[in-house]
Amino acid sequence: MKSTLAALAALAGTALAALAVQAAPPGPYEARERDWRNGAIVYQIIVDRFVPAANLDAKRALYPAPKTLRPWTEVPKPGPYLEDQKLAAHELDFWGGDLASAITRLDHVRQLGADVLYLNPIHLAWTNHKYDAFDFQAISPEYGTREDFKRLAAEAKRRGLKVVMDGVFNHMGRNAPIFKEAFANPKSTYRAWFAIGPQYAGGARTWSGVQNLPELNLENPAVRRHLWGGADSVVRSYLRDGADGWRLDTAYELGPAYLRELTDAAHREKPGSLVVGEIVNYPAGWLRSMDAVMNFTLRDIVLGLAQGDIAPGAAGRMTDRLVRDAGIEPLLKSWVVIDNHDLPRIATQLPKTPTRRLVQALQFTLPGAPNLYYGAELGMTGGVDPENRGPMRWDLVRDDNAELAWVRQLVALRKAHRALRVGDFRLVESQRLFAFERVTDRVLDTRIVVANPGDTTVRERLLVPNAHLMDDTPMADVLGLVPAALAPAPSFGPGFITVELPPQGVVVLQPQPRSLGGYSRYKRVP
Amino acid sequence: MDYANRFDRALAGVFEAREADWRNGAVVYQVLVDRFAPSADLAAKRHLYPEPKTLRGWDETPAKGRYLDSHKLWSHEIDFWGGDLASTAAKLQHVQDLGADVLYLNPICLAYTNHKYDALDYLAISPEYGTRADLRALADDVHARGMKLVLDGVFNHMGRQSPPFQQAQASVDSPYRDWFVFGEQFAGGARAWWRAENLPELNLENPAVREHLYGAPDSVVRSYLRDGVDGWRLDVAFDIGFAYLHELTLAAHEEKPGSLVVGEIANYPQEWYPSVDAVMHFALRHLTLRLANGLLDASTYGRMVGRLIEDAGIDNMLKSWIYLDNHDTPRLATTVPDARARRLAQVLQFTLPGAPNLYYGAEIDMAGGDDPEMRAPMRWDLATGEHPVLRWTRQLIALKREHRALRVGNYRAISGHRLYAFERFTDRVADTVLVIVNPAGEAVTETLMVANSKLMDSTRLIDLLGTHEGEDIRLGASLLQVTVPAHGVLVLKPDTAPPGGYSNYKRVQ
Repeated sequence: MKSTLAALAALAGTALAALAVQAAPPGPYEARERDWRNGAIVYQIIVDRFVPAANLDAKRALYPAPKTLRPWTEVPKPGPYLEDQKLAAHELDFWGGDLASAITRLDHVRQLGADVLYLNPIHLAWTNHKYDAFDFQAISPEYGTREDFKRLAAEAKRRGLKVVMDGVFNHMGRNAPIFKEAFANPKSTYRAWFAIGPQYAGGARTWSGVQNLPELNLENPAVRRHLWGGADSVVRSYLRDGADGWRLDTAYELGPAYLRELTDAAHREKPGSLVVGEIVNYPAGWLRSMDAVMNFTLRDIVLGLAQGDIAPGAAGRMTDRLVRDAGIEPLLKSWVVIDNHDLPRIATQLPKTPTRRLVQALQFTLPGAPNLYYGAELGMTGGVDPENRGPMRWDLVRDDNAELAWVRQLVALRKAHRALRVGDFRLVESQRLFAFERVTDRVLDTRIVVANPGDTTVRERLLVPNAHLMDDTPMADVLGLVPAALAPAPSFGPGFITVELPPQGVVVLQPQPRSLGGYSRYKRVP
Repeated sequence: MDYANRFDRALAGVFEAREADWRNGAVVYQVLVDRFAPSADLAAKRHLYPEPKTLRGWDETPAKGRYLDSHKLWSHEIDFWGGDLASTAAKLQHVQDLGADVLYLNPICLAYTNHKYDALDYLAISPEYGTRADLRALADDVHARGMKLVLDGVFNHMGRQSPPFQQAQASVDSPYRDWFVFGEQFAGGARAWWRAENLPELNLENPAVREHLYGAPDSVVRSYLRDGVDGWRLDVAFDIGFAYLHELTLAAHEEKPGSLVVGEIANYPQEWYPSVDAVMHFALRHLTLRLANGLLDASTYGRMVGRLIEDAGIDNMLKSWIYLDNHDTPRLATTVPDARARRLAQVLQFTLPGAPNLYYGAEIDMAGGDDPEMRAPMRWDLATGEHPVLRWTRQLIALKREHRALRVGNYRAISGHRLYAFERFTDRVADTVLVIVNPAGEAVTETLMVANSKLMDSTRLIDLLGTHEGEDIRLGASLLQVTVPAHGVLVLKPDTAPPGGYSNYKRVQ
């Protein structure tokens, strides 16, 4: 026996070595996990509406008429169009929140489990929403100073939160000093910063015809240097002040070439920073110009699915196509938006709790970074602008708030399951159920998400194209939305899983290693 | 082929190369040596079946026994019917007359049970079944009939009674100690397959074990290939993992170029190639049985099958085994009780891309439930030329053999809704075969779109299985209007050379 073994040992390294198969290179998942942009939870706030100012009386002078300061208990309502202002009265209604007050509630954001704080615009501008910039380099006094911003960034960083700002680089405000100067004087150095001429209504090219918002002439290199090219540019100086990324308003207006320039400038200034665009087009081509988009296509698929306008099988195929065309890497960084400052709040869009839960479960399990709009975690309601911008209901932050408990559950789910954060997306073949896998290079990371948007219980056998999952592997739901009695625990078969789900049910299924006396079929198929 | 277009030029030589490889689209006939053919002289062999082994009469059927704690196995695992390699060889004419290309034997290595999945020594043959000389004789006979021989390799575990395991267990100094995985954390003290204490797992991480199994010139895999075996079916291949499977496959190919390694892999197949040449298609079996039994609609079936084929790649599919039943599953006649539905499933088995795996007795409609019922002795009394299912099976095998596209052709879905339909095609339009099945319990009339650029308008389609009644079916502008009766099947090919000398196919390849 011993001599045989010695002979065999001598062979080892010869015959076997000749057969040695190169080990697969390590997957991209560790690298993805190291990049904060992937699958992050983004908490979005409007500074004016998030936290009441500590001392409002001391600030009253900052809100001269026709600006109005509203009490925190009042909700925003549409106001009349003010012809002299070229804007609606509710654009000048303020609630008094500022950067300093926001800092006092960073712990709420962190305790919720968010990774990123995204601020709607805070630069110097006239309205409350600040989409009509006067000066990108200054902070609006109602909200604070650049020092306040640096302090907020530092406090966020101390809590492990990244900060993303809102860049509105397609246009400025009509009352911006540089526009007024350019408009009044053809010789002004700023004349070529805008498109001024008799062919435009009101004398200058404005965004979507909104007279208050003259468009910047980005074809002028000086404008691009000011915004992102120069060392002291807007994009770069805020990154140096502690911002970690930019959300770009109406990014589609900037076009792919300038977006690429801007993104490269941001990355040069701060490697690993985020540029995410408000793109309401099909995402695929745009992701060559930016790190990420706000994924409105995915929003429409999910809402169409939840509301019965898109059949589950078709929704699956559309999502698959979206992911293939865009590529998983940029999609992991892209924001999964259901509501925000431009859309009715999720509780108003989807008043039926089971439907809303289904949509949110998908928001937190599909590839991307869930964009959580302040107050969504509390069940705040609100229709179209300005109703969706109500002051934060701090009185609802209570442990007995079921909505808050549910959002915490979703956040915890995403934190606990790596595949939901950085895994690939793979379509599961289905018809009446919407189903997909999130997978990494470790088979036990696999999570299979199945949703039933219909009004009846559905039992369906699904084809799950996962080569690593073994036949007869038990699967357990890790979401806990559906009572176990209503969704019998399925088990994985040879490429199949049979799932039964009640109406609006969602499960997130995790393979369970069997206890087989130390035996496991996964020992060589990790 | 002067008129080849750019699509044909891309395919030039592809199908000829596939045809030259016996593994593509082969018809595989599977036998359990103990149950296939009665021994010529059973009396002379009785001593080979000592207590508690039991020798049964050929007219007896297997029934579930009791667990024998002393042996850590079930009594029905040691019931024998007495078949052996020599008796198998005596019935090769039946296999050849069927038209099979490959004979696949369940394990025959030295082991204690009847199924031999508990090896004592891989290099020896179990005496109930014969010797390595008997195997060489069988291989010669198989080859003389133009067939190939595939063995069953059980390389994840051995039997508890195997000398290496016994030695390893008894002594920490045994050279075999590292061939297994010992430890208190394991029930019974050693890591065993799926808690079956009779089946201690081999420690494949130990290079010496891999040398023994497939690395060394005298290894199990290589020496049997030299004895005339043409390939290996690997038991629980998923346990062996991607890397070692790939090593094993490369070793087999090095020893015998063009040999087959087909894995028992119940996972989704895609990523298991090229670790193995082929898999046993568990997913396709499940889908097809559900379609036949009316539990799955045609369009879902079509989409899932299309995805399987696309993900696996056609070359891997062609070598993979399509089975509807085998030694581990209830027999087809039991899982699909309706005869028309069963025929539908079989038509798919023989026309989808792959190698149909025909389990002995399926050709005479033998029934049988779970293990051990599906392992009954072969009913030779039924295997006469009069048996309608035997005639039907021969017809299906002949269809597969005669039509190149069914053996080596590509797959393309035909767009339908309540009917499931597809094409098999090559670079020659005359090879094209169209398959249409109606899984519904009622007749379905539907317009199908056939995405084949070379099929000409108003081509008459020839009914290859004789299942069509009524007027000729003709293609019209790539569309096919057909009525298929409940559970009906149609296998069609274009008539590219109608009488009269004129053909609109004269300038398409």
